[in-house]
Amino acid sequence: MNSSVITFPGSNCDRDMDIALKKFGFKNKMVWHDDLELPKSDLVVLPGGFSYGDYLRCGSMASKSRIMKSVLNFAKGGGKVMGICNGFQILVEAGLLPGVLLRNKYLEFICKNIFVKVNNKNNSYFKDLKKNILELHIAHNEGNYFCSKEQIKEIDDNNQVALFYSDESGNINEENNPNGSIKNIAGIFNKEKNVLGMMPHPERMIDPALSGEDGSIFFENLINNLK
Amino acid sequence: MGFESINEVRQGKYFEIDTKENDKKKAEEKVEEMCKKLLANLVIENYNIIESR
Repeated sequence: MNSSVITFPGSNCDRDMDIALKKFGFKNKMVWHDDLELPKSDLVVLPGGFSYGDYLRCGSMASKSRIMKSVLNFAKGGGKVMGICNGFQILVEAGLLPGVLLRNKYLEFICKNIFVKVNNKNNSYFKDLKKNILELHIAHNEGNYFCSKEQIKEIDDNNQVALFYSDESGNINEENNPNGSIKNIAGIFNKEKNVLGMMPHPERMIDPALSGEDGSIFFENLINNLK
Repeated sequence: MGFESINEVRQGKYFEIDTKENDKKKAEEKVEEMCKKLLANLVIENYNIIESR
């Protein structure tokens, strides 16, 4: 399986993602934001970080960079595109996913482990995942998912919510909503389910000595689904 | 502070754009396009071109 991780100026989770993808068997290539063409890929990842210093709005400048034309075409042709954290912000700014990520509700940068409940397993990202609740890490200032009433209806109707913030047992309520996201949304798909954006970082949970292993479960399952 | 007549305060971004375009209407059209494509995110923001000269 071939994957590509795009590095934007200000990306800082790109190498972590490279390590994670390689650990679980992907042949990964790093792709520079100013390149025009994507290498042959089964998966394209937009990593976390602070692309273009978060100027204007998070992800807005990166969503217009040169490589994004190829990423858009790749996604429109059904290619798998996954955006983590800042990558999620880039995907909404690029119009590949609905909505936007606002400043966290309590105006603080949040950096901690959280639990997410997988909402939809009928897609190549979560199909056959052996757990329904994952412990992952979040680190963001703008993770407060927001969209219009029409958009949230469409998201519900098409079962586009990928992940909800929850507690350890999968309860979804305001208490375990870290940032004020509508309906505790932590990650969403496009209608076709080939594009996934999520705020939590699975690439930070792949080493039992340093963190948990729920990221490992995710990546192992992902490469098996893509084969 | 004593500003008792205030109902609401809105904060926003302000851009001054210097363009090579001499035709005012064309310049406004271009700026409109810039707003839609990049400067404003219409999910949460609106925009207004307040003056062209």
